[in-house]
Amino acid sequence: MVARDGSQEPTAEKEVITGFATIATLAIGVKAWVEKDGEPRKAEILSKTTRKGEPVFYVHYQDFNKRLDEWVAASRIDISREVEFPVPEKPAPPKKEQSYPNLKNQKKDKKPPRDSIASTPDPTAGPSTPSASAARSLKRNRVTFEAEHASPQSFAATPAPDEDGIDLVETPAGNVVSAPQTDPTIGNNGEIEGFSKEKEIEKLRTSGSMTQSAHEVARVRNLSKLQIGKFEVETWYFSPYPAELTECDVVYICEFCLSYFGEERRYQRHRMKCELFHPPGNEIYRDENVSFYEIDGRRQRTWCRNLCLLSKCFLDHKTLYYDVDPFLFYCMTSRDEYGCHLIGYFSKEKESAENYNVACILTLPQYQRLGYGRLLIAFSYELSKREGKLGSPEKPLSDLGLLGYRAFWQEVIVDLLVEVRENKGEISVDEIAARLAMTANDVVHTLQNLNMIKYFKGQHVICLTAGVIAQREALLEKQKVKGKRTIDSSLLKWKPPVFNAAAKTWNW
Amino acid sequence: MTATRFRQRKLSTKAALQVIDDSQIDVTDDDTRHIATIESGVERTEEIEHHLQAAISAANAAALGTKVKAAFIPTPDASKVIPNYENLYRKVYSHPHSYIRFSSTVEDTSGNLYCIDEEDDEYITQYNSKKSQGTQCSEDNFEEVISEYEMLTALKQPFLGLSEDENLPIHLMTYEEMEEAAFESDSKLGEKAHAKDLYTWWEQRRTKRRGKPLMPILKFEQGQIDKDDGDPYVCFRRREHRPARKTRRTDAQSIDKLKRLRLDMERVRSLAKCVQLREDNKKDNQGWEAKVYTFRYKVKKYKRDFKIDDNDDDLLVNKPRKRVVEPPPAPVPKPPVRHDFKPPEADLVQLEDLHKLRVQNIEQVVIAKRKERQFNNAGWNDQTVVAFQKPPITPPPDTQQSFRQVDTYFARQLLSPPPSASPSLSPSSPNPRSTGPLQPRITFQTSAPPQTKRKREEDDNGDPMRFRMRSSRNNRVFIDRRGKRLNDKDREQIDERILDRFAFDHDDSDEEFEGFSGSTKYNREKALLFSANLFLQQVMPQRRHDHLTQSINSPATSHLTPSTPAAPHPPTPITQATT
Repeated sequence: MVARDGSQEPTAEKEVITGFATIATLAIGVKAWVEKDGEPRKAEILSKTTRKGEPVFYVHYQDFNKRLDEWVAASRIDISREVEFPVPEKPAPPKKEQSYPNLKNQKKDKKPPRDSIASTPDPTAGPSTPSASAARSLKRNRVTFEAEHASPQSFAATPAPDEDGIDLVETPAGNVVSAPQTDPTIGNNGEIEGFSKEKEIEKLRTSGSMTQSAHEVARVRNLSKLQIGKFEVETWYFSPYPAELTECDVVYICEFCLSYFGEERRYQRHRMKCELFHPPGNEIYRDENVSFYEIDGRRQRTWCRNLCLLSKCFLDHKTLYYDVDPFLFYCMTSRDEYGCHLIGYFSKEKESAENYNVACILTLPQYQRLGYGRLLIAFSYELSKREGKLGSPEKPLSDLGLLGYRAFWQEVIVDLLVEVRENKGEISVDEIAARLAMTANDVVHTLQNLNMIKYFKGQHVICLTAGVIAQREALLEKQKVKGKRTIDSSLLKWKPPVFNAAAKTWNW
Repeated sequence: MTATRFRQRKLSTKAALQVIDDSQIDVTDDDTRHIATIESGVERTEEIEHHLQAAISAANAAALGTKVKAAFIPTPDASKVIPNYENLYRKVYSHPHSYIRFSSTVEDTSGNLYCIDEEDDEYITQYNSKKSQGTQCSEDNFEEVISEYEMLTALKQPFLGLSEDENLPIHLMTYEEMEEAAFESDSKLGEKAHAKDLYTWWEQRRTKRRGKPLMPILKFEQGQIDKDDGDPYVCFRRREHRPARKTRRTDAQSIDKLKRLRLDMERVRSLAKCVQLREDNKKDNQGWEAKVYTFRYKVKKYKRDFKIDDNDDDLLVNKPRKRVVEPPPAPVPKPPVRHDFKPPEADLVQLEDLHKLRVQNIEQVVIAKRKERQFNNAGWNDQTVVAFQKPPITPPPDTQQSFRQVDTYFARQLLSPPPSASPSLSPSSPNPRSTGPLQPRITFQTSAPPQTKRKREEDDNGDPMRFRMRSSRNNRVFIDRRGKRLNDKDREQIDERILDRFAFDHDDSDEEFEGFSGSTKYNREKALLFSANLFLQQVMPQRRHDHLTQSINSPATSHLTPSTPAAPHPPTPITQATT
């Protein structure tokens, strides 16, 4: 898992046990070189099984997001290169050379890591290995907020860069920020890990957050494909649908009530009976393209649970640990004669202690890269404006969430600044924040990230750099051609809901 | 780099910042290292991910004006479109003009919750092949029945299928038990076609699934906290229960509410029972009337047959019989038992208590008033009391002391008082105090018994008569009487009017009636006083012994009041006389 690798890499170097392995001795926890998109990448084996008599491995590529984890055939693993074995809990005694080419071919079942190193000289190291790997795999950082890819359309047309892409651009320092709470030593200590997990649950219990700690099983994606309405979508992450459904090739999701079915026949039967054509709540916004619905998790428990199960397939750190009662769900749909198709949603705490205006946000994968993410974010700020509050998404963000939010922030802030430059010429950070219903922190973050805060003649100034202006013009050009998705606040019929004490409590 | 570079001010969010262009600024002059970097918000270990870094770098480069290929993060495929969408979804929706408001749940809108799968299809085909055309089981019918079974089992056996021990036998409800459960939960299982036949199929499938519901359900927590916590499939746990703060008051309130509710419910129930009884009686009545009719019909027939010719009155008119209808005793709702085993009315306010309280309050007010008066009078002599006495060195401690016992014996001698007697008064003197001793005086012989003796007498029920004489402005003299109530025998003989008169004969009357100066009571009281005045002025100087002695000796006036001579006359003329 990236989490562990990333935090350990600097310190764990000396502890790594390397050696050669065969396909048979490749066990869970082992890191080997796997071919990905034509090039070798180091990947950790998370699971192992047999399909049609051949062993297949579930691998996580180092420095790639978990959503790219996949099942690979043995042929893609380069066993001519050394592999890394999981580090035992105690400092490993002598170096373990795995050079037993004629080990029995155990293809059945997941092989415990112990098997692969059972032949090491020190027998005590063997049994401790699984627990070490389990303990370390528990290692998970704080829960995060996850967002979908909401980068402006200008990015959408370009192909994905390959590995070289990173070399093409200069990486300015100061953008990658270290999270001080991450302690690299925790990974090897099961007890501390367990404690922090407890604390995490305690935090969930009291804060009403929607984020989750990962679990061993949850590291492996459990569903492969979903059929949602018209689309067939590959899942990204684990989701706690009933375990029986994991045996199905495709899980069928009713587009309107979001019920899930393992068998097509059942799905068909359900579709004949289902009378829902839109999210089961109140429509609070409507323009020519989309409608927004507000749904109370307490009143629509089944629907909101279904929504959460579905979105968990695409959100890594979302938690379904606790129920949906303390949340409101704002669902964006597009209309046609079939009904209101769910495009995306964001959830929001009924009462956020930290003034978050978004808990989880997701555009369903089949609707991504169409500018809907920006619309969702814009809508969340529109609600904050109506509430008269400064809002911010629950932190930390996912990769896609960060890009989406940064793009949105850049767009709205630069727009505002251009206007200011033409009129008054001066504006404070707080004023920007108030005008856009953003927190001052997010404003400074954006300005800083765009390198727009300068120190000039003894005072700070905001500098609209040529690059930023050029980006804005390109975007405007694009919007002129393709049209721009915006939220018209006059079409929002919404008052901030007020809940009495009973509706806010979390018990049933 | 100069040292000032590093001593830049902090970036203030409140300060207005100038917005300028690139061209206006010397880019080489830029240094913003002093501004604390704000975290991106992405988990640190994920922030270093390859694709994210590439995308960030590309975005940053673009912001710097560099021409770069924009990067994006690759995601798994989501572009495949299924071919049979039209079969699954119907083009029947039209969006209403107004914004939708909707509150039905998924369960409300999904019809029967059970959905047929292929196994069921096979069974239905097989099942229907044995049935004739009209009695076949439809898919909806099948789902309805199976949903019912599933629902009832979930209700009655919620823990079925949770056991992980493969060897434990599965006990499903039998069909009979199912019917019973259906009856309890108001479901219409028994009325549904094929319900009994489909039971075996349902039982077979459910047993095969080791008691688990036929449609997979989510895994909820099962109370084993350690185990549940580690299971990623367990989801949507209940949030921690936050007990509402309870006070004794809210407790009591809710108990009251529940009590009332309970009583209301009982009342409704008894009412319903009564209604039922009434309807039953009505039904009986109908039966009897029908019987009466048939018998009459027969009688008429016989009459006709035997040619009895009389009128049909006895057949047509119902002779009203005096019926003693006892209304059915309405079932008395049992008084609710309190949790502290007190009678239910323990909380109620009793009338007696209220009375007690009232009396208490009155007493308190009286005492308070008296104290207040005493306080106000401190340091003052009550001249109305001691006006014609030789001013004592200290004023009498209590007004009561100025009352002295007067026995009839002394009263007889009133007209020839001993010279030593006091108090003295002179009717003609305008200022009795200064001129008193010089004026001719009338004296009452009074006994001034010692303090202790008086006390005892007061305690006696005998209540001897006592008098006090006071003088007032305009040479008025009052003789106040106290004690000696009329006994019953006396009462009979006394004229009611006379009796009435004495009702107001008590001391400090002029103060007490201030508020009622317009009332008849007041007038009457005044009349009495005047009459006394008159009496003294007229009678005393002329020494009309005979009259006075006579009146004293008469039983009606044995109380000897100054007003006795006036008693036979109505009070009003006297008043007129004095005014």
